[in-house]
Amino acid sequence: MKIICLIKFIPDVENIQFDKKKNVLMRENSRLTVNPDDETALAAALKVKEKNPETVVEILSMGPERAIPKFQDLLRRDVDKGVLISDPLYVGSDTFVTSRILGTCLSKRMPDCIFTGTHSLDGDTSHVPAQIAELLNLSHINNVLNIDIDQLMGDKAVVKVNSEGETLEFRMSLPAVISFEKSKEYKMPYIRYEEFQRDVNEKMEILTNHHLQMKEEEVGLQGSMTEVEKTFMKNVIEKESIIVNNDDEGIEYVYKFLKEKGYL
Amino acid sequence: MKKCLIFVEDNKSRDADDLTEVVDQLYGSRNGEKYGFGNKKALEDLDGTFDALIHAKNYEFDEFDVRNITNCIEELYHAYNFDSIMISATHLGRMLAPRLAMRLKTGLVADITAVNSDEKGIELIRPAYSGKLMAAIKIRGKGPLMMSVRQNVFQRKTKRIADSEWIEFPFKMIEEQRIELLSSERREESEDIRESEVLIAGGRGASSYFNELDALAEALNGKVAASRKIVDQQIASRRIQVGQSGKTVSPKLYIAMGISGSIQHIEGLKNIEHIIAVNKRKGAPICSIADIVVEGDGKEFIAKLLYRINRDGQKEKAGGEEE
Repeated sequence: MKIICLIKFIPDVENIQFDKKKNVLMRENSRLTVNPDDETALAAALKVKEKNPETVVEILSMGPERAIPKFQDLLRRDVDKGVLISDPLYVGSDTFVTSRILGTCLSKRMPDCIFTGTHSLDGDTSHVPAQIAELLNLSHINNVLNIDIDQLMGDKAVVKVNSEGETLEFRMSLPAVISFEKSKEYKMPYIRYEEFQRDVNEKMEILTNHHLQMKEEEVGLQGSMTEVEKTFMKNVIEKESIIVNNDDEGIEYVYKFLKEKGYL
Repeated sequence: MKKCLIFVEDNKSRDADDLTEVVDQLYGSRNGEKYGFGNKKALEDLDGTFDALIHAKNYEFDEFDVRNITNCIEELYHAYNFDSIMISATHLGRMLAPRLAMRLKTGLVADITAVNSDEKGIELIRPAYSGKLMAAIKIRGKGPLMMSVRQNVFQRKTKRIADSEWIEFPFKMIEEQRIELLSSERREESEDIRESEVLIAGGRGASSYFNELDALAEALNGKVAASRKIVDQQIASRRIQVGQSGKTVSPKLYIAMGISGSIQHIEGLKNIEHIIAVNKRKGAPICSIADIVVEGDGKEFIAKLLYRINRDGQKEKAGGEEE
């Protein structure tokens, strides 16, 4: 069985700085991290490999070359191969174009399963997995919590899915796109000490548009179907608040308010 | 006249009903024709609020058969040439919308929370970077205009129109189903915080006394909710999380206990009549949108307020009044 995991490197969303004067995110110097849902997907694939050692696990990502060190850290786990798509032509691609680029690449190396995360912390559109499934004519499911490794053979997969307070169990035909959500069940293995300095270049392939041969007008900002007009901080409508203390007077005020408005 | 298709999910007619407000905001209430598509049973609640309700002839799709739902909507698109397609951003909707957008080779804006429509065109607004900022997005290309819409953000304002036209559509593209639901299990009680008129929400400042929120919720006939900090600490379930990565809620009364009120949290509060913030810091962001700020310890606040409520109850009983 061959599993390809899609990995997105994202800016560190929690610590990202916002330039309030220019109203833009200061993205360039932010640290890159692996999107947490994607990390869960890769950890699940490595778990499959741990149980069935003949499994081949590959990672596929699209991003800037400065992601290479992080990318190589992933290859230092038990990942067989990594493909990084990186081309200045692709900068500015929206989800529609990104899906087409990844789909083009995947169609030339079809695996049995494509594992992805469900959400990304930065864009959080969840478009790419579903759109890749459409391009490759595959089934797709989001918010996967668990994949039944014992039943993962032949042409079927059984997955447990978090769906709005319910746990649903599905059987789906393979190949399929299976999108995980962050869970404690699948944890990334640590890099073994002797792997830290290992040269993983032989496992890594960098693809550009020279390899994928997409038309220039169909990629990047030019090919995109959506365009960010502007970004802005949300204006919160402020209210004239009454400030009270946590004493008898304050409690009495709150109590009367609740009573008057019909909450008591 | 603009033609708009709204997808109607099984058991979620209300979400579809709310999307009619998006049509009104985009095109004006008289210029947008609303077409609903779904299984017949789901459409029944919408008779009178949509112009037309479309279902398949002799066929019901399975709730998670996204490929066949996509096939159906593609056929409808070619038959009616819709100007826009709206899908509620549910678990299913967030799988369906991107697949359909790729099929129709059009752009899609995910999880929108507002729209701007004027002579310069249409902008769809969505939160980005975990709600740290908002992005206004334009669709390029020939369309249709496609969006998934965050649940509970829009509410239908127009009254019933005339009776809806019911259309039985003879779909031709139905294919073999490749995904099959084996079982379903409710993980916890199916109490939805979005249904409650009163929410008592706890944040990081309430982590040491989070359990005590229950008593206040009970006294006010409400439910307990939580901020992401509390959920991340595994004190409360994600099911009751309010905010950008949780649920959007519209209760009448929201009592925020020890919640600082990050933008991501406030993003989950919509159309709330009254907010009471209990916080040790009266400068916390949540306090600027509150009607009343109680400066002090939340645990103490709960104890004192409950005492006050109960004292009143006792007095009424002593006075022989009947509740």
